[in-house]
Amino acid sequence: MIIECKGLKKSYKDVKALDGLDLVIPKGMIYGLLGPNGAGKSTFINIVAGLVGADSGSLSVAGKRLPAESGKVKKLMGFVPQDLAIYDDLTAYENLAFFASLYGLSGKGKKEKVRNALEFVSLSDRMKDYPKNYSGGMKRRLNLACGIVHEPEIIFLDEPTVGIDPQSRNHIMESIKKLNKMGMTVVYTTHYMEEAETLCDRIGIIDHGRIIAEGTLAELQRTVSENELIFIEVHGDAGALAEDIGGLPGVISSEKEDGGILVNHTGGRGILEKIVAGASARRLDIRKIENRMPNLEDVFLAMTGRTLRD
Amino acid sequence: MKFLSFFTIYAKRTVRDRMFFIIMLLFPVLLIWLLGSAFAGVMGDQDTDSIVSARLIYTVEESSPLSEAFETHLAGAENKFFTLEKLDDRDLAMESIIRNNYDAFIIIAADKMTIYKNSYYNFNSSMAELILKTFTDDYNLMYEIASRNPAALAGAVDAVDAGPFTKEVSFDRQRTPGSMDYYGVTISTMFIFYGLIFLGTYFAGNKVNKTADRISTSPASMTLYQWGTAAGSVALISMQSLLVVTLGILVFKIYWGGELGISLLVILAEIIMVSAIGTILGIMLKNENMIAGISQIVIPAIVFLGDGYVQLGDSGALSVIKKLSPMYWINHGIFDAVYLHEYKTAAISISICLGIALLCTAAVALSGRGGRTGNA
Ligand SMILES: Nc1ncnc2c1ncn2[C@@H]1O[C@H](COP(=O)(O)OP(=O)(O)OP(=O)(O)O)[C@@H](O)[C@H]1O
Ligand SMILES: [Mg+2]
Repeated sequence: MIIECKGLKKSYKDVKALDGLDLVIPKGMIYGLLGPNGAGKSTFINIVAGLVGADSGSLSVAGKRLPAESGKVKKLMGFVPQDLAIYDDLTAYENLAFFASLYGLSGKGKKEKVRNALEFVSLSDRMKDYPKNYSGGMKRRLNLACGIVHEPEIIFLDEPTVGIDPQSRNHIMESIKKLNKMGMTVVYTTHYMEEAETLCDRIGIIDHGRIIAEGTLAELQRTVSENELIFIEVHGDAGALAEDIGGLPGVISSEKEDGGILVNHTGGRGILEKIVAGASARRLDIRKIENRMPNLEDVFLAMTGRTLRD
Repeated sequence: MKFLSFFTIYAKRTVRDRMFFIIMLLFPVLLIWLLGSAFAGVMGDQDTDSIVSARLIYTVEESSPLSEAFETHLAGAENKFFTLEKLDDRDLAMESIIRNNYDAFIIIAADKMTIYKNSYYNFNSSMAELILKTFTDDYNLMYEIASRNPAALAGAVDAVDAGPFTKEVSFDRQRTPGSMDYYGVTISTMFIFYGLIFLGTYFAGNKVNKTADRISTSPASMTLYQWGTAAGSVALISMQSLLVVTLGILVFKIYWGGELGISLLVILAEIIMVSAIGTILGIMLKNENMIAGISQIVIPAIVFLGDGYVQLGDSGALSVIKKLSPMYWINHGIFDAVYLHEYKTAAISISICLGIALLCTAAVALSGRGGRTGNA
């Protein structure tokens, strides 16, 4: 386990930013920390970074207790903060060279790592430009590069895709996968469930400063219900068909929704065929039929009664 | 290595700021030129190479070995530096001083001398003071300088230790600061103070743009960051000051006497103090605007009190308050060295500057420790 934290608490006056956070992150994975605004994601990362002190609880990184032994692990960690942290009046190259030097790099080694980082975020051709002339997405990419230029073993990314265009976003997502393939452990916070679903090996869902669910995507989906969902869209009167389906064995509910019918069933065999047969009996053309797994939004909704966005 | 990184990155970023050159180079040169020209003739802009002798008057209150020594050694001496006349009507003498007919009035009592002079940078009255100082040094007695205000008189008594008055009163050049010379010094030392805005806003700006967080998450220590950056500031302002002083000498013929070395030491101490103040302000204050705001109020006040814009009088409440301004000691440290060959004020000013720098450094160290225990 490269990161272990137990009972981490942090309050700002009467706001409990972290309320007993328990988290175990294995080495070598992309770990997603998913939660709505104000859930405590940044607070957790800031505590790991040593920027904020926890009120209580324990935290260790690579077997070293923080903050007591932080000196021993600072070199291993890289941070990509939620807010941009770059110098507008230094070129991309100078920014990276400066931050690399803080990790004791110099000379050829530093140059090489800076060039790698620029290459990595596709800013090599703009490296002599000042970030004030960059697009928002390019700044975010430079912000990312500054956190990884020293090639840390663990990289913490705090919502690195907030407020940028889809192209830069995809670029960053791909970069993170590449970093992980190169052996870095990645801790990734986001409030976009799609990002967590496609990117992360494991996901911790955080709300009000606590982990409320944790596991792989499949594990999380199973926590919502053992039941399965089928969504069917037809030409014509869906109401009657919905009633028909509701009478089938193993079906818990069958309701009109989003211009189609959402069927909640226990997952018995042959249910799909029976639904299709029911539609053709009523001479309705099937436009679409799909097996719906609960998504992380559903997981969050089931656990908290709220959606991620509100 | 990391120290050097902080040092160079400060220099690099500050040099790229056009405002640095405007405020630290263009403004001082312009102001020296403007004020120097505007006040030409108002200050002691005599023909500096011609010899001006001080006109002194004295009276003997009571005959004594002291007054005898004075009359034989000083009044009798032929010299080009001063003329001494005896004038026993005290009221008339005082009035003459106030009217500027004479440069100083010396009263010799049995065991004490008092000198009434007009303003401090009237060179001639300063010379009178020096003459008396040399004389009394030889006689091992105290003398007292009073302003035109006789109320300032207090007893300062010591036994007269008779001995020959041997020392020569010497000046390398008869000079009094002209307006260019005056503002060449006070404007240079004033703009050094503005250097703290650049350093302060640098530290505060790094907090605002979050790069300070990146530094603190790196293995480099915050102490190294503060020292490296402050050292960058000292280096940068030193170069800027040297440039302003050099330009002043070349373009405006500003006089630094044979004492440029002492003056530069005074300036260096000021730069160190300014950089230390900039560091603590930048660390304590939340954002750049606060630092710029505070500086723009406080610096002019310090400069005003330090005789930076005009020479404040030597009497009244201001004459006491102005001694609280470090600028007063810096400017007069330089003037005393250049024009009076007196180094005591320079030494005081260097001590004050380094003392303040030390206090700021201690405060920075304490604030760092406070921050860390807060993180535990
Ligand atoms: N410096 C601070 N002072 C006061 N309250 C704070 C501070 N930092 C965070 N908080 C509060 O702590 C809670 C958790 O904040 P945190 O920034 O960790 O959330 P987050 O999950 O990162 O949210 P977001 O997705 O918006 O970035 C919030 O209620 C926030 O208002
Ligand atoms: Mg956040």
